[in-house]
Amino acid sequence: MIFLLLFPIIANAADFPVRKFHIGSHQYVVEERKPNVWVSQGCEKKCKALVATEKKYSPPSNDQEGAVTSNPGAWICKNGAKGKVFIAVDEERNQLSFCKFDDGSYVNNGAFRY
Amino acid sequence: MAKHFQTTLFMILALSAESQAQTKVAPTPAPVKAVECPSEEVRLDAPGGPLENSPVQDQDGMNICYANTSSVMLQAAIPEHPEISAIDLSIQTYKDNSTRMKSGNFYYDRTVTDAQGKEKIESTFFNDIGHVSEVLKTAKLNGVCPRSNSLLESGGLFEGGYSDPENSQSVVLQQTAQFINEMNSAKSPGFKENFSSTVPELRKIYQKNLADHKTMDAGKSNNLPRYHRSLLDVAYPGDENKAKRENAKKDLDTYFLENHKYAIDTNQHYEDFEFSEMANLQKKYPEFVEVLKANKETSKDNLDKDKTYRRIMDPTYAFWIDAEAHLGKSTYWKTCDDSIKLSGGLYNIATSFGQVGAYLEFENFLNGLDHPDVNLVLGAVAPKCLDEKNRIKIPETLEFVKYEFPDPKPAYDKNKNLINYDQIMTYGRNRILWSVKGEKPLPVAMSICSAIISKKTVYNKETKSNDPLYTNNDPASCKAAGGGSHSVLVIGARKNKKSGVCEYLIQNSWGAECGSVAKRECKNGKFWMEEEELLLNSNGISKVVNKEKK
Repeated sequence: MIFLLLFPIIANAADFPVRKFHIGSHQYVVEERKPNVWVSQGCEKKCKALVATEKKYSPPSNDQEGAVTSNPGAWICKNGAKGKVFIAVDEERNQLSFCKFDDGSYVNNGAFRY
Repeated sequence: MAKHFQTTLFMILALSAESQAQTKVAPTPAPVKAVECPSEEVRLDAPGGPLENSPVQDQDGMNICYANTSSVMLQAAIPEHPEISAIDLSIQTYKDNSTRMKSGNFYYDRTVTDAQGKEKIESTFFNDIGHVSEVLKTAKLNGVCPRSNSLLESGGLFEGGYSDPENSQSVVLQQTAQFINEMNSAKSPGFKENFSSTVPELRKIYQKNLADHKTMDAGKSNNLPRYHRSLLDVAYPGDENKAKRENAKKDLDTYFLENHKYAIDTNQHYEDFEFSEMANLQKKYPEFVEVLKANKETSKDNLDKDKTYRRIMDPTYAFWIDAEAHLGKSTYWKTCDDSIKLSGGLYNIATSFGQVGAYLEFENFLNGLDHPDVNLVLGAVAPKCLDEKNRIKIPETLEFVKYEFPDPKPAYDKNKNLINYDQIMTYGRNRILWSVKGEKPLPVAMSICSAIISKKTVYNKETKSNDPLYTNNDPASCKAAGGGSHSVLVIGARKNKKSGVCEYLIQNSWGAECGSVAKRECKNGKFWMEEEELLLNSNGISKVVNKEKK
């Protein structure tokens, strides 16, 4: 019985790989919904972060300042997806920049297609 | 690709034979033998390696790949291998470089070429764009700062509780630099001292605004802004709609307040969420939403004018208003107001400071006020780095070496030596492996065309086929491929057991992820790249060497 009750929770948890990031004491948990697409945990199908990753953006152009030698995903977040970039670190202090939207959802900047 | 070059090489050799006959040509030196690619994987981030504790960096929207790369090269070369702040390196690089910065202005103008080939002037943030060699030079002069001392990079900047953690490095640095510009453009005597003494007062104002914002009670008042009220009057006019209009006002009050709370929870600002749940509103109040949409063009302007409401919603905005009023009361600020009107007056200063205040802790900012130059930026984001005691000296024996790649097209260099494809491969491989697989292994920095990271081929309009991407990091070729000159590190090497091809482990500075990387073996932002695609999209290798006498 206990097994049956726990099974759905375990199965659900195993659905997507999870990574944890933080800025100071603020924690951010993301799930890999598709390969290389790390979305804020709890993000529903129509959350803005997921919707934004379904579009294809104009590639960063050499004629736009900082477009091609900075992180291209961070550039697209700001200029194409109209999100807000923030950088968090994982437990090994690796940095990763995310794109946050006005519904509170966020996704890694490398998830944007161009 | 190799065969293609060999064929072209023979053709050019034949064509060149006549001109060679007329010129005395130095004998071609004996070919240098290529170092054997390691059959077993070599990587500097393995346990015990110099980069065992070297996290992947994310340069965000800044063009500071040169500083990210240099910080890791220095980490590997310095005893004990401490993590080095890339932000500090980028700031130090231009601290004393007057050619890069206008006096008192933390932006500089550079000439860029647009798509039509026309030149235009573009303002660039002071630490954007640089070269590894410049960093190393200034690092020896000024020392380097441990990354743990850089609050911006370690996340400690936002621990005070009233600054916004979700702002990119570029935004924080840019806002800080803008404020310094404002300060420097205010020429009144005593400006800095007076501003410095005012900071604690401003800090109190900011904290009060924030506290008011956080304790706002939904039941206290009817908070629907005047602008929305006016639109409700349009959507539900007359006595016959009075009941519906009043109900809508109550519902929308709640709606806005819920969103307000959401904004507090997520550290967002007023404008960000204003129309985020339009679909939900549409269900219950379609007429109102229609009117709202019809007025969309001017809605933001109207909201901006609705200062009372905005004050409650946005503590930073409230701070701007109160700070301006506070500065206006001071005798000093009154007397100098006229002289600083050219820079936009007190409001601009308060505004800039308010924006900075949203990202930085004021105490940190105060550390920088004693340094009314680029060190103010450093003081704001990494105050400990201002103290020489906290900086690490670079050993004098460390030297920077740069190897320019010859063009891979068969050609003759200034000494009439033939440079060809095989030489490029040998030249590149040897210089990488001598370092990465050396007695004291060190990474090398490669100047590459950024396009090769996210794509392996480029469409050829003439042959209508996808050709391997080959730019030699030549500016025109790289631009045509959609890239720009970028700096990455080689931190490992191996011979692919299936293909037999030599591959290099690349550490980039686009974060611990693989979304931007073309189909390659990749984990947490580090990926393996075939030798040919790396070397034929590069034009230089840089490394730090230790010239210490044995």
